[in-house]
Amino acid sequence: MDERDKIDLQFLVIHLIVMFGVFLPPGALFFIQPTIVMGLPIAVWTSWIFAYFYMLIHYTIWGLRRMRLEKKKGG
Amino acid sequence: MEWWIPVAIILTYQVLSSIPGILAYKWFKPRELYDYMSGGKTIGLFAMALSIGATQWSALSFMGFIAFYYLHGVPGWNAMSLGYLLISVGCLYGIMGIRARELAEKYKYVTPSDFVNHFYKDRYLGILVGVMLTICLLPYMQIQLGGVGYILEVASGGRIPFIYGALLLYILIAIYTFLGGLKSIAWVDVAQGFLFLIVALGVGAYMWSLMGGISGINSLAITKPSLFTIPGGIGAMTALYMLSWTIPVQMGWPIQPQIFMRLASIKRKEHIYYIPALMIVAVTGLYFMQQYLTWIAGWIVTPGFKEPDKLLITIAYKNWDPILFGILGAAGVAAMTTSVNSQAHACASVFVNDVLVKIRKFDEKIALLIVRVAMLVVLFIGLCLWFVWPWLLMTLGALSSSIGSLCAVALLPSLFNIRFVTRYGASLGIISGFIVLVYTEFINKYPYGIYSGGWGLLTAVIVCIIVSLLTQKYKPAPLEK
Repeated sequence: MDERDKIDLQFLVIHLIVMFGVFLPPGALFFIQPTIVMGLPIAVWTSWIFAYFYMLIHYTIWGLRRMRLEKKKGG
Repeated sequence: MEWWIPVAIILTYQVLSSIPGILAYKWFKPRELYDYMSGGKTIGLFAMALSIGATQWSALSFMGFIAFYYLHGVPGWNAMSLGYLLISVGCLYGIMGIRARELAEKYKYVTPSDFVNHFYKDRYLGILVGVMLTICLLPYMQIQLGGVGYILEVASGGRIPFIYGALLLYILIAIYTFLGGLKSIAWVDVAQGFLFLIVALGVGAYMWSLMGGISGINSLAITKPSLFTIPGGIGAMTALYMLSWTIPVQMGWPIQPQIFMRLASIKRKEHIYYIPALMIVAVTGLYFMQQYLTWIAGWIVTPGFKEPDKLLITIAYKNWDPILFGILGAAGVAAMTTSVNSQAHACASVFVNDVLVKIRKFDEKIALLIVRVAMLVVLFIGLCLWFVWPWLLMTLGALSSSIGSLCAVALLPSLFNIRFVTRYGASLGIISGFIVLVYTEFINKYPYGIYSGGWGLLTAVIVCIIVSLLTQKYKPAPLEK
């Protein structure tokens, strides 16, 4: 496994944990469902907005790490 | 409403925005099949990002997704929009895209089958993947042409029968796609994608005011609470169904050739690093928000609407003046044509490059002519299918994407160099997954509350692993880095 694979694997492992642990079932049921049942549909928005910025930040970090690796290889 | 005003705007915009496609041919004439399929790898980040976005903004984003959320409520919204954000973009656009682009640069590969062939050294597996991707694209094209028919029918107050509108669009798309292939399509996508972005913003703002802002959502949550919690408005979206729906559907979209071929054909490898962020900002940020606000506003102003696919255009038809409605219709038709052009191009490319050329070698010029004619034929088949199979748009879209996801068991190992998977494992995984998908969709529908695509993908993965374990002596040779 080279450095490139390591960066991608780290991205994927963190992503899968966050995705199924927070935003999609089964994790989402613990966070979103009770909030909605309590009459707070705003939770739907916040979960989406959190997911949106989480993805932007996570992908930006991945892209920067991959680009830095390419530069290191090129240099 | 003066019916001819929106119709004139829609048709004029379609004709004008097709001109860049013909101009692209003037500057870039495909000389071989590879040029036609990949645009000669001359399409840069900006054009490619807009082209990928425009290809994704289809009849589904304008009609089908809205109907899906209208019926299922927030669980449907989570399955689609969160799923797209987290699975399609999150798992595949970046890390799959960069590997596809790297290998594409080295070996002049374009279609998913090219990568599968290279990895497993098995042309029959490549043909199987090509056939599966051709099958999955046909219903998808049918959706777009059906959507065009819907919009023109509503815009003209039923005066323009579906067939005339769809035929006119067929001719326009056929001309520039026949000539310039991916390059022409990308240029048209840029011209049409812009309008859709602007209209998505406008529709979102209108729906926000129509539903009375955040208080509209809160009041709907009180009057119709089932829309805001599992299992959704019609009681179908349980947690298990949601997962079994979103995983295959969201995996299938980036693997479908019209998107995959773009990722593999972008001008420079580094551009891939920017694509996921652009997709997150534009596709998920703009179009999913517009759809979210539309279904909420739809429930507030027209509760219990019988034809949810037509919700947005019906609200606009009743409340907007003809010019604004014409602009909305033009954006809607643009969203559909930018998808159907790419799908027809990808479907023909896959069929010729992955199936015909693997069976018999052709001279490059002949192959170029065949792929052009094949494009006309598959576009026509898509048009005809609408008459024999006019389903809910989203039902067809999800099915089409799920079929595409089955190819993941062969494609992903080839991109990530997972040598454990053998060609027998991948082939039998795809075939068994497809059989189970068809069985659980058409014969024994959704057993145990699991979506047919979920059954298909699960079967494909399990069979692939078991057969690969049993056939380890046939595992592929390591790929060069």
